[in-house]
Amino acid sequence: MKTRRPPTKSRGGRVITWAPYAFAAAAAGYLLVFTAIPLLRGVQLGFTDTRLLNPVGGEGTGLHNYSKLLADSAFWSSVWTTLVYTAGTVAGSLFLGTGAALLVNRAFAGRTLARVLLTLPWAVPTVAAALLFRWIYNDQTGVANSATRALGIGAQGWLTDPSVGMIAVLGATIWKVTPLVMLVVLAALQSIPDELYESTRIDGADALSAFRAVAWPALLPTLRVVALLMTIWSFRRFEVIWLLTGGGPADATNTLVINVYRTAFSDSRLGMAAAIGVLGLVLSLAVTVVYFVAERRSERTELRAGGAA
Amino acid sequence: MRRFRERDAGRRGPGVKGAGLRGARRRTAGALAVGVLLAVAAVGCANPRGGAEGPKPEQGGTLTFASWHWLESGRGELLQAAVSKYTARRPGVTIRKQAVTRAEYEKTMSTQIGAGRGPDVFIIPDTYFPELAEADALEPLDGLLDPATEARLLPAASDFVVGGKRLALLSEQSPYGLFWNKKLLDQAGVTPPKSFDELFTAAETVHKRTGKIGFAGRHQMNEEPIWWSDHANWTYGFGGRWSDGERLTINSPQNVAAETAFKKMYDSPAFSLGDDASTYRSKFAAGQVGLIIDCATCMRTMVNDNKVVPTGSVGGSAIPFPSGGGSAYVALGLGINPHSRNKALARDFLKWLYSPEGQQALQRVNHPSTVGTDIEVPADLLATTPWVKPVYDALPKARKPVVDGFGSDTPRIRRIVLSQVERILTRDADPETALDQAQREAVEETR
Repeated sequence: MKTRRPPTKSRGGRVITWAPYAFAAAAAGYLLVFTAIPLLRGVQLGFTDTRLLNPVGGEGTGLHNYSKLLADSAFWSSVWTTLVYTAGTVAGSLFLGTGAALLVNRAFAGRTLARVLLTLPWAVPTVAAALLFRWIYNDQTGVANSATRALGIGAQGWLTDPSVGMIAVLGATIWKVTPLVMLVVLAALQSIPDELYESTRIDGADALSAFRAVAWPALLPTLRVVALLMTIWSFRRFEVIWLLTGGGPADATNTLVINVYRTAFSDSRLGMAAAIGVLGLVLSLAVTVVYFVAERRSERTELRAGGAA
Repeated sequence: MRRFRERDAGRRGPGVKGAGLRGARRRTAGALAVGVLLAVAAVGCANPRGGAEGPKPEQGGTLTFASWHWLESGRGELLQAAVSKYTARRPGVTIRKQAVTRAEYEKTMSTQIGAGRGPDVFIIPDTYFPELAEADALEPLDGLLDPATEARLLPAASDFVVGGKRLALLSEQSPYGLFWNKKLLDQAGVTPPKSFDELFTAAETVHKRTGKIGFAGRHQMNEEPIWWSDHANWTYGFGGRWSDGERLTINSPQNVAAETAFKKMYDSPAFSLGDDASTYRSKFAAGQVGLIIDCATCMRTMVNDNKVVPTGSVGGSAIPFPSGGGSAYVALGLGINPHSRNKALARDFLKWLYSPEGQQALQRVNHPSTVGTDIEVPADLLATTPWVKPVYDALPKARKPVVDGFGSDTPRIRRIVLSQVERILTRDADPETALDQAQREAVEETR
């Protein structure tokens, strides 16, 4: 029979339990090795002229990469493209995801099948989805152009015309990410007690009023978190854009992440790519800070409103 | 935050007074410091450079050979058959395939070699070679071949020599040509074109009369490295160059004329707009494309065992642009990774590959591309590509797509030029203004 090792005692006679430190150290070690050190190395690379073929042979160039980037209109265009892509993805997926969740939250025949079908895009591998959309958007044989021709709009160069390239990429992205929003919002909707709806019905409220009075306030915190997550994920989304357009046509979908990849792996300029990455990180942090400030203000407002009531 | 700390301290009970907390912090800080040191050391050690001679060839071993050809239908099997002849001579040796798609090839190789790893032997596109050479990422191959074999190397073998040092061996030289589906041209009632205007008219006529794609070619940035090689056919075909060897000549009148012509073709409804190479090649193989400018080896892959468009129903010629046959060629080299742990084996494999037996085996893989030496192409192989003769005849006029005098800058110049070409195509930018802009940017970038 094994004897349990007694806990260590400090000089003052206090009992020290090592387990919490061991668990925390494992997590801290993981974060250190796979997040903190690569991040610091990335920041350091941004001040060098390191090339992909010789990642340890770069020489320090001070702020050269940053000054070059900040004076480069292509970089700012890339920042703007990222913001447009992010805003489009977040707005589109929240709107459609919430709408779909409200729809499948109601009781109707075939609801389970509808839920499964609406969730499917999330389960499709991104590579497969991107290839699917490449065919949908094909200029000659794609379904998208068959539809626009039938509607009398005429064929569009979905992946070849810079004026519609972003719309095409947004379409594919929103299709892919909306099911997640739907599932999260659906879970939030199902956590609302039925009694609340019943009481509004007794008070004679119609469906829209019931939604505004009961569902919307309950959904708001969830939607805020989903919006933040979608924003961060959109900032760093790569596969679907790369596979559909590679950042084209004519840089119309050249987001910061695509820019980092092209600079690092096509141009072999790791140092410059790291500098773009750092500026992208600053942008992400700024958005996150803005979110938390807004969140805090909103909480205070709600508390004040609650207190007043 | 302060409130939380007070509450937390209160839970510790009397007599603690924060001493244990300070001790715990010291221990945690110590553990973190050790972790940082270990992790930094691990990162530092993760880049083992150097490589090794490894086992002697007669002892056997495993040799990794990277190429995108492993993935090509028909050609992959032929390559496997060729290397099997080597392993039959060296029964203890295994050749391990490293198959990487063409579009991702340079990125994958650079990442692996940069990390001090990668294949033992690998294919090197001509546009990628200068970057590898500049980064000292190729094992020198001087003295590997005997003088008799050296004397038989094709002129393009010198593309892989830097400062008198041979850093790779020419594996193949693939000429570009204009190819057409004879059946579609007959249906449309057009004859093979002899000039750009005739090519344009033929493409439009095929499209109007048959409903099929008139002309196909690469035109998108997501195929950037190889689009550059393909696009050079337009530049060289119109008598243009990217440099005169010392100065960039991106905005020369010939280059402007080439871009104007390409834009005209791109804007035609006959053009395979939006299709990447694998898509329009599949369409050509399915009889859906009339004319195409492509490398001869790619055409062989399209018609290989093809019942819809058999090799006999394909026509070929030199590219009919104003310079009279001026076109690009693709030269591929074979080199040894300096980080290989099997350098002796790798050299033995290359030595065999450049023996008469190896070259004949490689010819079956490469045809209608050449191999590295001037061996005679067997008649049975020539019979499979009746369209290749005029393309071969144009090869002496062909040029490599590397920017003369700006070898390792080629990827950056490529990005700048093709971005402007994309603006011409998709944003209707004026070709002259766009190439002026590319010239300015490229001069600044390479200063």
